[in-house]
Amino acid sequence: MNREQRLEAMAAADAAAIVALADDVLETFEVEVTRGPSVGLLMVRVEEPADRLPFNFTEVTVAEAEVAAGVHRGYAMVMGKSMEHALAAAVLDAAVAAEHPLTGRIDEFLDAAVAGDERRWAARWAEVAPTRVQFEDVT
Amino acid sequence: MGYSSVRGGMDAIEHAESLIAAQVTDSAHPVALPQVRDHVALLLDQVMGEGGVYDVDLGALAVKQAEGDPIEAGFLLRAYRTTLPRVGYSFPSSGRQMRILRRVSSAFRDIPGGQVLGRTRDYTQRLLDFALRDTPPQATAPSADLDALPAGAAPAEFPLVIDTLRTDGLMHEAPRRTSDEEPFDVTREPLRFPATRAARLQVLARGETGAMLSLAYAGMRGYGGAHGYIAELRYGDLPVLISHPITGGQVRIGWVPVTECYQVVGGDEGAKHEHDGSEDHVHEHDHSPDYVVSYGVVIGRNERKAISMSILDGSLKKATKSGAAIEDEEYVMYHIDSIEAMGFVEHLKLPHYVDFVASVQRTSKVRELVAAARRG
Repeated sequence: MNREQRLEAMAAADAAAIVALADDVLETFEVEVTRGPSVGLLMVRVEEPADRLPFNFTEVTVAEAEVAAGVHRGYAMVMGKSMEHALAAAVLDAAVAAEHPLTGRIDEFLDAAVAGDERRWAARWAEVAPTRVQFEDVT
Repeated sequence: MGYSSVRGGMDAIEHAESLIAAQVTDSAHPVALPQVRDHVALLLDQVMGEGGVYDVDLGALAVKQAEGDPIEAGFLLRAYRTTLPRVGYSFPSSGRQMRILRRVSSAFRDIPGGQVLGRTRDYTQRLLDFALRDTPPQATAPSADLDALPAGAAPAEFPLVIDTLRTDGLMHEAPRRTSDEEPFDVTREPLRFPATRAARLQVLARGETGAMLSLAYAGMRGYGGAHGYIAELRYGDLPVLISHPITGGQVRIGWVPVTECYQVVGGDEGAKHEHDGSEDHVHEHDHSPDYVVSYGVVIGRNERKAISMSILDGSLKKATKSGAAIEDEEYVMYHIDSIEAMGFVEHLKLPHYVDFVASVQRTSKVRELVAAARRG
């Protein structure tokens, strides 16, 4: 899992669970908070399909944090206003970058977060899949 | 009754405010925010769209505080957003990247990936369901066994229906790359006319559903404008993509639910629409009666607004104007914003005592002059 995939997984993870894991990591890992944690607005852009023209569609609330552990940095931005979620994710990002002893547990947690996200999406699709239309020709 | 300016009223105002506060909270069955999210979802979507901020918790709070008034709730969101810093802009997301939960076409029966009705009232009878009065609370267990579902069970993507028109040579090819023109941001700069199409689309996306429906309906009834066929109406989740500040790579931090409408206006009518004139749009069919796409995209499930937006987008794109109001970008853009409109119309109920005194004095003076003239 590369750094981008890591952030995607952390953003999709349950906030309480990721905070609990970060607390465990911080027992043996010192970090300096270098950005935030703070809440702000991200302007989401959408591409109009015909002319491929980007435009500003809507703002979304985001929480953002960045930490440093020696030469290693950790960053996270998550949707919503949970600064705890963002800070915990930044801590885990730095921990993996620094090859912290709990890296294996973090990787397992993030794999599970990705799988959970996919299952939730599959469940939503399963609800609407029976509404796919099968047209019949009447002669 | 005296026509004079006055002071005071603060006690009355404070009591009026307390009555509003009590209305929101005093009840044997107070509304909890999850109830707004789960059971008044369409209103919540409308409020977030017109408020211009996607945040389900904030939107639900605004709906509750505003007693369900969508414009008031949108106003609360717009006011709140001014307290937060802007952290940046996302990468543009495309409908091609959407996770689909509904997708229909009224132009083509057979579309790649098929038509998926999803959650819709389109085919229901509009009859009050009295059984809902006594509905007992339901457990909120998921309807599907999550563990039994294989990952990747949902289709990765649905092709855009408009690509069929492109394949058949009936529509301009898509530009090879996303336009690098910096989009105008109406939340940062005052509107200027003529507006860019990016500015128009942003204003339409934040517009008030009822106002846009009214204008679109007027256009369809013959008062100008342009509408055609809905090539595709889709609902699903659009990814929110940012640049990772350490690696510079693209990262998806979440999803925003949206409704998209791709409307095709065709043949000779379509050829009269404006194009941006860039090299990307020059092709061998430039003089053929191409179809053009009018686009609508809105937060959440709000097909009424998405379709209306596509009609208004198409009307404003017309190169040859008929003079109708809905083809006038200044008319449309200034009059579909609910917060602006509500503020201006409703300010009439606030004290205008001095203005009216002046009006009465002027009228009295005129009457005196007329009476004097009659007396000779």
